[in-house]
Amino acid sequence: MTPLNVPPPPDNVTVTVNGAPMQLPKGKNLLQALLDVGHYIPHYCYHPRLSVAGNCRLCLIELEGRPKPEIACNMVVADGLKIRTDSELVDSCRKGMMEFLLINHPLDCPICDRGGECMLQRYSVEYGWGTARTIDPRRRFHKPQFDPLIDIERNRCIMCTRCVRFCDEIAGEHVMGVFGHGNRNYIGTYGNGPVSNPFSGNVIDICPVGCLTSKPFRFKARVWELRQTNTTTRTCNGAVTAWTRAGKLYRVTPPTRRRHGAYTIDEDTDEFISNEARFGTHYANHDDRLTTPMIAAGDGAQMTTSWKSALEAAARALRNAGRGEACFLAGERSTNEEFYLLGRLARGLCRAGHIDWRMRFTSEAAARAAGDALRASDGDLDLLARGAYGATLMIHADLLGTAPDIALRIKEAARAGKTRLALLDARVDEFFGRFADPVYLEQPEALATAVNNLAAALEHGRDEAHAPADGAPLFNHLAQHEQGLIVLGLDAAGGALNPALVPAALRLVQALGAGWQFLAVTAARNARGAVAAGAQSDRLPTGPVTDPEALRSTSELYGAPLEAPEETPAAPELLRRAAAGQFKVLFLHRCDELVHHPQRELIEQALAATETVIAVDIFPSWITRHADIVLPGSLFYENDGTMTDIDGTLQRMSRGDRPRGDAQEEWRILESIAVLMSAARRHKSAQSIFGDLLKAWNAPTLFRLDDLLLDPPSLLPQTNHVLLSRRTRPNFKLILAERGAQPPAQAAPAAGGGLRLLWNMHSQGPDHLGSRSSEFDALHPQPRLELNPADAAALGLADGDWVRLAGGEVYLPVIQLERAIGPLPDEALYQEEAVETPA
Amino acid sequence: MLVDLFKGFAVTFKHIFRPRVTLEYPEVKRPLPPYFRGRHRLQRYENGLERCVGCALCAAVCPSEAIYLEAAENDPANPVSAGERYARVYQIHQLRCIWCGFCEEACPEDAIVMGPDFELANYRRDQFICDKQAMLDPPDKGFGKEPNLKVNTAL
Repeated sequence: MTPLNVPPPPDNVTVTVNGAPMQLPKGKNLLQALLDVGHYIPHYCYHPRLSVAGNCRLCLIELEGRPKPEIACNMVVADGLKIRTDSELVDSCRKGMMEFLLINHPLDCPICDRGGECMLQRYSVEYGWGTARTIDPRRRFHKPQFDPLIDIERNRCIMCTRCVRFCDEIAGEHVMGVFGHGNRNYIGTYGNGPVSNPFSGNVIDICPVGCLTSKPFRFKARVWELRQTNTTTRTCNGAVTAWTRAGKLYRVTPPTRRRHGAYTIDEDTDEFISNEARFGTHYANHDDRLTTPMIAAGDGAQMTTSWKSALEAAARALRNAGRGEACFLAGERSTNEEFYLLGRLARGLCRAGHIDWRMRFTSEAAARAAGDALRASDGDLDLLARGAYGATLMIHADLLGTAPDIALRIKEAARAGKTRLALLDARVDEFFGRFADPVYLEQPEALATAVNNLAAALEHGRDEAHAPADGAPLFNHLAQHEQGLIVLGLDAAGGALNPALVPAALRLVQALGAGWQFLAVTAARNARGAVAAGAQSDRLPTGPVTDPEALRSTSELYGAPLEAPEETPAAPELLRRAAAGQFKVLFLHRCDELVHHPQRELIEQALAATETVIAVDIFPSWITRHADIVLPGSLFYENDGTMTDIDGTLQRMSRGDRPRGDAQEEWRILESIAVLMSAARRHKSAQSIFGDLLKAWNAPTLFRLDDLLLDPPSLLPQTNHVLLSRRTRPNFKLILAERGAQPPAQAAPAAGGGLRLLWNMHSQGPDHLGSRSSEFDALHPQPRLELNPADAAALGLADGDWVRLAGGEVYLPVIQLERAIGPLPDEALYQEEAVETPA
Repeated sequence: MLVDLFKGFAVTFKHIFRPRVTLEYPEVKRPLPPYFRGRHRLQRYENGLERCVGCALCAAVCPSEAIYLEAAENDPANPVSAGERYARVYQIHQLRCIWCGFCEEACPEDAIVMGPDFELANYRRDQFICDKQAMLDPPDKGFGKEPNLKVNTAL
């Protein structure tokens, strides 16, 4: 893999701060530059990812040669600047501004949920007067109906407009605004509706005061009482902090930072988390948890049992399974360590056991294509943010619906001008549509042909003469750039990925040259980890199963002899074989995606036809009720291990609480079964398993699991007032990037006639875990039908009409035709949200 | 030797005729100093609303972690306290308490005060966990002020 050229950082120039010369990057925001070198300046309205508003006036500094103080957030670093941040004038400015901001602020800190992490409290102590001189009554607002998840207390607002700018600029929806005038200024949403975007929870964190607070967390606990665990969720990319007390989850926030001497929410964070990670994780508190192991007691009944007997029963069943008779299905939300241990159990300890993770896909061809795509992924979202990719093309990627965290990072790069975004899709939403040019719409079946045509044209040459007739703007867009990124969505058609799309996309990357990289995006949380840790039928942790060298090194790691399998069936095929009764043991490890799987009948048959079904899960479902052995697992803040983000970044999942009841960490369960099956190697900690994985990946082995934690306290300077740069943790990327020459595939013929339904599972749709979060109900998107305006006109439908879909009793509203930027392809319907399968 | 003996008895006889300092304790009680720190009392406003808003500063400052508190949101139609928030659960473990009075000092609402009650003996350990009902004072014993938080009025 050739390293890409990243635009160099700007040159440093000398700025004199309080008489001392300082080297700061030229052209950078002065306030941010000072914060980055640890020179703290108080601020409310400034946020590194938002536009400059300059309305809190707290960052006033003295600039030599200017008669009046200036706000640092609206200045850029220039050579020879001489500023003072500690003069009497600056001090009195801050005092004055604090007093002004507090004129109408109620003294209800004992009631306010922000108490303890509030910047107004902090700055009052450090820069304020300490007493109030106002004698007039304070301004009071009525409390409006606002959002089901965000509480608003307008009396506390200091009008920094961070939330308004967040919604406009980052969440991409102009839903909040400043209303009223003068003293009656207030923030709110248009029509007092909810903050209706998938990132709305972030306005809680970026609000520097207690105006916007979390409703699920309202008055539940004080922040200083809670234990913070820096971890990652089982559903979303990126790191989070889980705030718990006595095993109960109170809230999930972006990772906390050490600020002002304590670990607290970094309200200047750029690691925004989606509502799914923030509120959808409250399933942790659901009473329904499996807490004791259970075994079948005949007649469909289950009885609780001890760990010893449950594990022994599981080990016995696996030992008794004959050659190729054990099938392991690893849920896509397992950690890398769990994938590794499952691979070891299947391949090393059962005789030629099968293992795969790709249950999300409904056909074998789609599953294989997804495996190929993930294996070839080498795109890096950090490089994207640093401007290494001149152009980005997203192919059939309904990212906002399937992987909102990734969608946000790509959109932010496009908004910041770090890359030029183009779309090739069956549907365009406003989120990306505003920043994408050119947008090329195509019927979903014809996408692969379109990509192939592009690739073929680029193979001939990059000048405009070779451009295909109907895709010239897109061709030129790609051909202009030496470095770029192709993003391919694997979930845009639910589980029915068009297998021809993957080779076509890889061919396009190949045709574009060595500077172009590829990123396959799926909602499967740890898909990259599954491929890398050897939980895919054709992959070992050290390489493909067909490679004798990989077999040898993996058998060394496993401590068990391995043989090359004759065939490598993926999960859809394994499920079909299980339904045909070919397996004696079916091991379902956290198979959340099976609970609401479209092929439920097939799975029911598989469960019925298999002699012993072992299920590791945390909540009961129709699957665990059918299982013969149920082993209770742990939550994302009770488990040790690592997860791989979709761009290969390793995230640490760490144990901050012990699992509820008798439940166990999954790696312990799998390791115990392996030990009972007389495994030669024993792992006593997740670190030890991670060490094996590092060896398998040829990574520096001195790298420790804890190094992945954000801001480990020992690494931090203990000084007060240090705002750490936002990426202080060592960043370990896991990139396999095996990209052979792929044969150009024949595209599926385009179907004709009638309107076809393109449905998609939404990330906030029915979900084994998320549905158990009561807050998730508020996030649940309303099913809706999107229609091309031309089609709508032909059918005589208008915005808000209700239609019944043929073949079903489901009525859906036709809404928001204007949301589609540019026309949808003719004769295509888009329905967000699949029809729910009852649990 | 005899002289020493009489000297000693002189002291004894002198004290026989002095007023007694010991009290017949259960029947007669000693007057307490004004800021005596006895059993905690939770104060109320005159209108019966609790002063405590459940901010948990007492629990945060308590050096022996004797206070456990869970807050909840008031029902505006039937409020318990004078703010939006009230203490749904308020427990003090009196075997853990070291009677330092920090909770009283930390309380921003003057809700918790340490009263004059020092007879805390009990037969069972679990009865030393005092809940809110056991500590709440009747309304008129409070500070006699109306709550300063008025229902939202303007704008």
